[in-house]
Amino acid sequence: MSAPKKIRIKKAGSEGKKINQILEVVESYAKLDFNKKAPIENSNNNFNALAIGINMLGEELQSSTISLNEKDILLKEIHHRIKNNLQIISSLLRLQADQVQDKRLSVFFSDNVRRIKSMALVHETLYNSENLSKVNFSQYLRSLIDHIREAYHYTQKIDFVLKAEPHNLKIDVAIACGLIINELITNSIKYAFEKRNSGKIELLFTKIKQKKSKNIFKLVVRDNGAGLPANIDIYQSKSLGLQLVTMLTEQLDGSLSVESNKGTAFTIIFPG
Amino acid sequence: MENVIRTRVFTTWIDNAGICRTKVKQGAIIELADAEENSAAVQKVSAGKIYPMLVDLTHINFIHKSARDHFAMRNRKPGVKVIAMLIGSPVSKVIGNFFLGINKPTVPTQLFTSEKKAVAWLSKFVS
Ligand SMILES: Nc1ncnc2c1ncn2[C@@H]1O[C@H](COP(=O)(O)OP(=O)(O)O)[C@@H](O)[C@H]1O
Ligand SMILES: [Mg+2]
Repeated sequence: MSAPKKIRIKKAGSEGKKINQILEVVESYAKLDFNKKAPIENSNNNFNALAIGINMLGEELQSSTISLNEKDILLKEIHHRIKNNLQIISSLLRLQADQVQDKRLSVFFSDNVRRIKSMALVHETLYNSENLSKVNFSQYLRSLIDHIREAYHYTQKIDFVLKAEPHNLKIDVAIACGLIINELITNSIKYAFEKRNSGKIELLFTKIKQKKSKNIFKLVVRDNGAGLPANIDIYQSKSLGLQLVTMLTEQLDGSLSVESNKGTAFTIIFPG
Repeated sequence: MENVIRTRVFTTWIDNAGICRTKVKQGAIIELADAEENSAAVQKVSAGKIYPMLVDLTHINFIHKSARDHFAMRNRKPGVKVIAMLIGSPVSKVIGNFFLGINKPTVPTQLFTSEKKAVAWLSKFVS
């Protein structure tokens, strides 16, 4: 395709010339270049009024565009601080985990350290990205998996497979999803391969349809391990992990389904 | 006799009807310093009173954003009660309309093409 033609009035007389000058100014404003100004004369005709109006609109546009940039910087700073504050909370918990003798209590602390970290990562993903209000979710999932693998000690050889389409999610949706995934992946690491020396954990993220203004997404966390114990009802779980998963799915307005044969697969469908 | 203050681009005084008047000089391009000078002049002629104000823009040529923002009075106490702006030329019409929206002063502001009507409106605010 050829470059867009510039709209110009041909056979410019003195009025045509003035209009062309104004058109050039409008074009540079459209490109956020506010240095160009329409020449103004000391006369009180409509052309001059038009030029003045355009120049004044340019000044206003420039000042609001600058404040938009400032807003971005501010937002970045806020995400940075939230992440740092979450980091401090998790350091405190980790310190306390080291102090307690009771094994159950120390597990409680370290579980929560991981949950907080999954939230902090959302903010970290945000301040490292161009878009400050939507989370690049596949990028987030990559760092979440890295983090879980680092934080959790296991002896088996576990393959992690991430298949994520590049979609953005709102912050609260990303945080809920991150917490869910954190629970499910740590469960797989903890329970799926107890009597094995290798295994595979897959994490899939796809958009399955687009309903008018809403997207519908699908998250799958699947392992090829032992499968859930027969007596477990995920909706009536007494343990915190699965309770969190069902609660957060509800919060997402999503649906949860579980398959347990040749391993365990959790599927969450949710609007975003 | 009326106490008249002349600055670079404005003439400012209190008229016999109790209205603070300021008139923009022919072809004036108003900058922030001019706007600030105008506020000082208004304050001086007002001598502690708060008047309704008539701003005659009919001969204006341009006013910069910093000056418009100053006249919007967002970050300061207004020295006047209400503002009527007198417009006529195409240029003054365009500029006047910025003061109805983007650079709206914090006191009620209206545009007039007739000085008589402007004065009639302002008279309601004379105390
Ligand atoms: N991927 C899995 N494979 C096998 N068993 C699992 C898996 N996920 C969960 N479970 C079982 O479900 C139980 C409940 O999990 P959860 O609610 O997360 O509590 P917790 O992790 O604290 O035990 C676990 O104790 C475990 O027995
Ligand atoms: Mg668990």
